[in-house]
This record gives sequence, structure tokens and C-alpha cells, in this order.
Amino acid sequence: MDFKYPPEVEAFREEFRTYLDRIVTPELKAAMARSHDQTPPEVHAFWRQMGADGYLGFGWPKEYGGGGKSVLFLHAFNHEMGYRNLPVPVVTLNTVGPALMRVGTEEQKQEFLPRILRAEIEFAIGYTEPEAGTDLASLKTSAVRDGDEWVINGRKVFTTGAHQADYLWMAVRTDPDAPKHRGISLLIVPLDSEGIEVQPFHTMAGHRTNLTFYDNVRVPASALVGEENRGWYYMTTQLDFERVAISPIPQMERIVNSIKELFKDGLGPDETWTRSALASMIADLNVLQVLDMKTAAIVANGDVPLAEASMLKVLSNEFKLRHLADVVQMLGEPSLLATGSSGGLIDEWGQSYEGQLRGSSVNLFGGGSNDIQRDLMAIHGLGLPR
Amino acid sequence: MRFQDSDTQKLLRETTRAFLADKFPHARLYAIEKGENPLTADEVRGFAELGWLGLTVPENKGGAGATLLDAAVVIDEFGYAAVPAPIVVTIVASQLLASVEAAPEHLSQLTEGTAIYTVSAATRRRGPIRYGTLAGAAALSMNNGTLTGTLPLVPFAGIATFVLAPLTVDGEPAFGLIPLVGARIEPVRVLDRASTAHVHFDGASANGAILLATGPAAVEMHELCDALMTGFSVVETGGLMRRVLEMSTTYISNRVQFGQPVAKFQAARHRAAELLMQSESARWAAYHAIWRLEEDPSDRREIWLAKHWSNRAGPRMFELAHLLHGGVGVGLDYPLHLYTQWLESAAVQAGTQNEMTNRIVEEAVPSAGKLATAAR
Repeated sequence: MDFKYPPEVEAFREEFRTYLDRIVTPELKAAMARSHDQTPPEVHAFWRQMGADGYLGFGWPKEYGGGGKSVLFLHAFNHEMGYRNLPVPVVTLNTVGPALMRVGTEEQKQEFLPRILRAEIEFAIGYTEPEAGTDLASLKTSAVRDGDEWVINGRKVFTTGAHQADYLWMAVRTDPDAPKHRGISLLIVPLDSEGIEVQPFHTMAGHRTNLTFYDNVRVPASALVGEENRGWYYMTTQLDFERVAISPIPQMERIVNSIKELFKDGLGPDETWTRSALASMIADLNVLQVLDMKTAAIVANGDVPLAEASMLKVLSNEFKLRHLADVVQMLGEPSLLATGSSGGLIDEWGQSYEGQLRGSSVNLFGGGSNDIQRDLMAIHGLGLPR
Repeated sequence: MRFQDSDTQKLLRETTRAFLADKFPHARLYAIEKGENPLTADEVRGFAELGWLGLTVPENKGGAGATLLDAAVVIDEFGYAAVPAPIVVTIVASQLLASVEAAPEHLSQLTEGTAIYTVSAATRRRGPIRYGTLAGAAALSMNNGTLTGTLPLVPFAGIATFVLAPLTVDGEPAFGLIPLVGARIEPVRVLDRASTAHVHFDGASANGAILLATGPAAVEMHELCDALMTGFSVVETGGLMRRVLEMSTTYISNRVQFGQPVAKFQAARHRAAELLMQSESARWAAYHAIWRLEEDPSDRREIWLAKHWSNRAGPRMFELAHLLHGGVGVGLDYPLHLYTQWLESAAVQAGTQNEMTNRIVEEAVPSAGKLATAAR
């Protein structure tokens, strides 16, 4: 066993913290607090600045203009961004980019990768459908080949970002007669194509996502990613990655630290239940941090953390929800007040506890529903019969 | 970073596992449980021949000079095999003895197995016994060359030669190595398992007792003793957990009900996944905490955190494993109870949840400690 955190990653973390302290302005923070539906221009400017300074793609291979740094650096990057509640264009940067590097055509790589690194374009993901949620592979939205074009018909839900992104990374059924996992393909669809309708769908997390409708949408044959009918394989690879990238652990650290800070000068956790709940939160967080390092170490050593990623996803997101439920119990009614309501409690990054509690509902299913993760653990972690 | 056994650790793990599986099959464990065929001093000397007792003793003091993490691997395997043996207390005793120059001959006796050492694990510096007659029992004290008082719940006191324990000497705190030869040993059953005893000193001679530390140094040694006991106990518990997980998954994979293995039912699969999460978390938090302690002996924070988690995970696993096993799991001729009863007692021993909570909260919010003190 070797638990030493590589010093060069620690050094990078320090350097990156200093960098963020410099470029995260009060204006940026204010803009983030203001807007939930639309990525504000200040955030786009922030991403472009990071891109220009080499921080956006430093985990990408050098041949694609990245910094060629190992996954541990990316892990530190995500941690620092998450702790500050700073948005990361995760879908575009960590999903579409790496997938294109692996299976995209030369033309697609040339067209998209440099613009992704400069934060000039954004992708939305079009997977989930009204009848295909947890059972994603039963999706029905179809793409039929017509000469040099694909013709798309159907509908998607939870098409987050579709109202402001440039492209849709879309899963479609291209062979209705094949077994359900083997008839799916991925297409890159410009969101300004004719026949696409985007309707808002508001969630209790306070963020806008979308319902999207596709009526004879035509895209060129070159929109296909990788091989036809191999889409399921590409999607699951991407979801493995998303599961690690959307870790709530940095936010959980922030929550614990903010509570410590609140208690520091005041009465402190002088009540029995509060003491007990606080100790549990800190002990839970410690376990998550160790499992998080373990998962990152597995990836860094070139292996695939199948059961470990599922475990981390389930534990961290369920604990986050429980921790926030405990936090509002500790702090009482003022913690239920929304940001902007007088007497409400917010942390130093402008987050209200009630808002974070509402938001925690999303990742119980986002990145793959937790009950499916438990099934995956049963298969990959325990070898139980399928 | 590598969350995997090193080559040395792999070898240690394999040899420990093979040895314990051979010498301590479940039939023997049932007998030990009933007190019929207890672990003998000879068997403990056998552990010395394998190099386990002096594993972390420095080479220049006659030991193997292994790391605390290496010792954790051996301890983990004792838990995995559910062998009630003085392995944790011996490793803890050796660390305490090696931290001073006072008793070099004891360090070699411990390493060679010519004397058996235990630790008064239940006399925690933080978290004294509050209820029942034990709460009122006189603490150990040394006056005018005699020993009086009780050390409650001493592991393996029946076969040990010496106990390391906190005591007072003429009213001052001390930490000593005490011979058990003049003591009255009162065997007790802990969660229906044998191997523990209350140790009473009714004016026994203090001949052969050595004060390892006195004054503030004794308080610090007591703290270190508690930290080591807690840390290695969590490691041992992690071994128990891994075995409970394995037994449960094997059972539900083979047990057929309603025409299919129980493991095909999602409710059962999810309970098994929960067992996996609880056990993996406890285990790695324990190893990581031991590593932190090794890097910096004053850094005990993760030990309290790991124990806090383990204190919750153990009883949770008890419940899940018995839910999965149904009636089969409760038979005294089925091994599950060996592990689950131990899990339950381990959650209270070597640091209760109240002790862990106080330690964690006082570290996280220093003002909390002052308030708690003021409230008393």
C-alpha cells in the first residue's frame, strides 16, 4: 500500500488555487448567483480565460492541444473548481472531447477539438427519453438514412443546456431490428437545425433543463460519431467518466467547513444531537475522501474502477443529501430561507443550505441512477449472477 | 498512490490466511467461543515463531522492523479468520514498549513469545465506564510497593503474563507494565464469547512492575495506547467485515428459493451492494488512518474518524448479513454468528461512539470542547 499523494499534483493544486484566487472576481461570483437558466457571459469569459491560460485542457493529450497531465491532476482540478462552486463545461470538455479523440473522424477532430479547448462551443447531451430513463437502451428516437443525410424523429427529456448550446451529442436508434443495445448510434446535431423545438423544464434543483422535440431534422451523414450501431458502447464509456467527474465531495467539504466556521465563534455545537450529527458528517466525509483517492489511484494506474466508481457515486450523493438534511436540522429555520430572503444563511461561496438540499436530489439519478449503480456493484464488485 | 498490498504485504497476507485457516477452522472457533478449547500460551508462542508478535519492533531491538501497515495486514487477516487472539494487544504493547528505553528485556520476551503481553484496553483515557458496578470499581494504584484496584475487561488476561495499563502512583498519573502473577483473574463473557477477564489486584506485590511513564508523559502514553488500540481494532473489524460480505454473497448465490438463487432478487443484490460499500469504506479508512499515524504519530484524527464510521458500519452489516441469511444465519453451528457478534462488540470496544464524537467535534470546533467542559 502506498497512500502518498504525489507532490507534483499537490504543487499543481497550490498553483491552481492561487490562479483561481486571482481570476475569480466578485463580478463572476455575482453573475453566477444571479443566473440559473442561462450561463452568463461572465462565465463564458471565465472559461475562455482558462482555456487561453492552458487550464481547460491540461488533462487532454498533447497531440490535441492539451497539457498531457495525468488523471490525478484532473482530479485536483475538478476538486478545486467544485469546492468554489465554479462551473466546469464538463459535458463538452470531459465527455465529448475524449470520446471524439477515441472514435471521431479526422474531420470531426479538426472541427471540434480546438474550439472545445478554447471554450468557443458547447455541447448538450441528448440521451434520456420519456420512456427511456434508467432503461436507457430502450430509447426510440430514430435516425433513418436518406441519401447523404440522417433524418431524425422523436423526443428527448433532460436535454440540459439545449437552449443555449451549439451542438447536441445525440443517441438515436439506427437499427430498430437489432437487440436494443446494438441498434444505437451517436450523432452530432447542430442545435439550430430546422425541426428542433426546445421547451423549458424547470427542476426543484433550481436549474433549467429542457424537453426537446425532433421533427424530420436533417443532418449530413458525416454527423455520425464512430461506427453505426456502436453508440451504446461509446455512451457507457462516457457515463463512467461522468460519474467520476460529477463528484459532490468538494461541495461536501465546503458544507462541513462552513458549519465549522459558523460554530467557531458562536455557541458551537453545544447540543447533543448536533454534536453527534456533526461528528458523523466529518467521519462520512473522511471515508469518501479515502474512497475518492482510491478510485483516482486506480484510474491513474491504468485500471478501470468499475465497482469503485459506482460505490463512490452512490455513497457520496446519498450522504450529501443526508448531510444537508442534518445541516438544516442543526441550523433550524433560518437555513430554510432562500438566497436573498432576509435572515437566510449562505456560505462564503453564496450557496444557501436549502438550495443545496434541493439540488442534491438530482444526482441520485444523474450519472446513472443509484439503484442501477447498486446492480453494477453486485455484478462487478461481488460477481453475483446477472 | 496504490491502494493495493505491496509484495511483502501480499506474502504476509497469504501466509497468515493459510496458517489461520489450517489451525483455526470454524469447529475450533466454536469450541473457543464456548470456553471448551481455549487459545493457549503455546499457540501464542507459535505466532512468535512466525514473526507476528515482534513484527513492528525495530530490528536493532530484535524485531522484524516492519511498518504499522504491514502489521495491519496480519491483524486484518486475524479478523477475516475471526480468531480471537492477542494480536492487536501485542502489537500495541510492542509499540508502547519500543517508545521508551525502560524495558528492553520485555521487548525481547514479547518478540520471542516467552511472555505474553496484553493491554488494559477498556480503561480509556476518554470514555470511562459510567454505569454499573464497574463504574465504581477502584482504579489501579500503586502505593508502598503494593497494587490495589481493578482493571476491567482486559483482553486475554487469562493467558497473559503482563498487562500494560494506566495507574496512579502516590496519586500521580503513570503508565506501567504490571505482572499478572499476583492478580485475581475473573473470566467474563463478552457478547457471549470467552477470552476476556476482569483483573483484580487486592494488595498484590508490585515486584516486577515497571513504570514506563509518569506525569504528563504517562497521559500521552495512555493517549497513544488508546489511539493504537482504536486504529488496529478498526483494521481487525475490517477483516471481519470482509468475511461477512464474502459469506453473505456466497450464501445468496447458492441458496435457491422460489426456483432461483436468492442473489437474483434485486432486494438481495442491493443489500449485498450495501455490505460491499460499508466494508470497503471501513477497511480503507482504517488502513489510511494507520498510515497517517505512521507518518506522524501525533496525527490521530483519521483514527477517530475511521472508528466512528466503523462503529456504525459494523452493526449495519450485522443487520444486513442476517437479513440475507434468514434462519440459517443464527445457528450456533453456522459460522456467521462468530463474525456478527464480534462486529457488534467491536463497535463498542476500543472507543465508543460517544468518545469518538467528542474527539471529532472538539478537533473540528475547538470552542466545543470548552463549552462541554463548562457544562460539566
